[in-house]
Amino acid sequence: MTSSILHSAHALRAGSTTSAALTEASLSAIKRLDGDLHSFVLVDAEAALDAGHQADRHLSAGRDLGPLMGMGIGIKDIVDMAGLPTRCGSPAYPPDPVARDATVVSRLRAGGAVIIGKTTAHELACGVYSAPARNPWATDRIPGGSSGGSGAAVAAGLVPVAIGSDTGGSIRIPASLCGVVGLKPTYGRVSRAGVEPLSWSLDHIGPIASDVYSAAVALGVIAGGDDADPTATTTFVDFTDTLDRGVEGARLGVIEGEPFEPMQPDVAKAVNQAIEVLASLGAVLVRVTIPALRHTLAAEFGIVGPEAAHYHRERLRQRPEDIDPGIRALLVAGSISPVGHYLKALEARRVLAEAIRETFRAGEFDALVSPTLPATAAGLDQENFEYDGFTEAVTLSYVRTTAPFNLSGLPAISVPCGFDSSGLPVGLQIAGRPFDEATVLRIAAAYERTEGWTSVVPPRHSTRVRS
Amino acid sequence: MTALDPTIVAALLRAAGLDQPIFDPVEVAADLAQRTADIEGLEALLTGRTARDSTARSPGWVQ
Repeated sequence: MTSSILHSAHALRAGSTTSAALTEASLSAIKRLDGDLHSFVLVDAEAALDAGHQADRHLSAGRDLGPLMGMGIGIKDIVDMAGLPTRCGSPAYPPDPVARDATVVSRLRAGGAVIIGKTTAHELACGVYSAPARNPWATDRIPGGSSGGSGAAVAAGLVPVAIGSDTGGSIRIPASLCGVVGLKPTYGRVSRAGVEPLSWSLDHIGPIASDVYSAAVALGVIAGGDDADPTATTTFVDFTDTLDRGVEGARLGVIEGEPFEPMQPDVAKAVNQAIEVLASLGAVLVRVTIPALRHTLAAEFGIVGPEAAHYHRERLRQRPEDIDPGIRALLVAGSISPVGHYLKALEARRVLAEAIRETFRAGEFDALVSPTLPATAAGLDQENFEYDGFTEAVTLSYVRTTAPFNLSGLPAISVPCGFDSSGLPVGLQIAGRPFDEATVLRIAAAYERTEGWTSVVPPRHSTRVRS
Repeated sequence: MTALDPTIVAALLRAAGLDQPIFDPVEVAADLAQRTADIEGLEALLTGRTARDSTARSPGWVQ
């Protein structure tokens, strides 16, 4: 198994490296590369080195805190870390430090992880550009968003894992565009306490990682019940247990039609090849359509608008000039639209979730597969994609293929599956049944073992080595 | 797609505490018209259905 976390964990326990050395390497790489990438908004070098030395002391004393012990982690800057500000990529947020860690940060610290700093987020976690962060595969391209800094930092090898959030695709979009693994768990798998919401009934927290094993390990550390978030479940699962079991006999629904089409021809080619690989490994493929999902964007934005507007209502009243005009328009609409619109979107969500459920049931599927996104990374100022005469905004284009699994709350992963003709990464999306991240990870791991795209690294802006 | 009367939008903005000059009722009315059309499009999905509890939020399935 190829994994940056696994390799480092073995080296740590064999005494051939130390957490302090890993931390210094991470900090040095950030100094060298992040001037171009802007994936971190804040690096707390002193605290990171302290945590690295602490992990080394624990290991020396025989106290093993788990598989993330001593590993460098990036935290999206919408997640609270005690003593640091949470800025949400927005000038409307205060520079004052917050008092407490988010639950996900507490869990990472308890697991001995070394938190390197905070990664760039698109403003208010509401967008896919994540300026000023850049894509390590081509710095004239966006890394995606809203967890763009987390995706870029992992792709560049600055950290093996970074935490992201996903309301309409914000973990899977940067993972796909940056050629790394991104896992949006089931709604309720990971506590959101201490994380700034965008839309509380659609927000999910999860890992972006260099490989499937690292994502599984990270999910295992951050998942679990939490008194501070009543939606969080307490079921414990070791997500690495079944990673090597393959896909022989697995039934996969290959989703076609809207909203997964149209897509760029290079994306279609890479995804079709990936699906053929899964078939060659013994998976049973069945082509399906879910026509109801053509309403995905209307339902998604019909929920995000009112929920975000309610959460940010004081900010919108008091500092409207500090909010991007496009986001401001969404918040204003969410503030004054009839409540019936919101209820209609909630009702649509229920119908769409049931349509996906019925697809799983009728096909007896273990998972649904699709392109993560219909297009590769857009240019920094690009507004639209053109699909054979059809023009679509970049944001809508990315969100239409990922949001079905926010609306349904189902677990979904993006795993790299090749490149377009410009050398930009393409992602394969695998979505599973509720709380069945283990199957999603197992399928992704089988594909990764066969094709090995996660070991292909950006040629210039990365410290990762091809394994 | 019909835009709301900007005077009505201005009243809604005032009621929401958003009566600063940065919120232009004409622009907001045009934007709302598009969003309203998107939501109205959901009728095609919902007609004839009776959602038991449209606000329920649980991804778990009763098998």
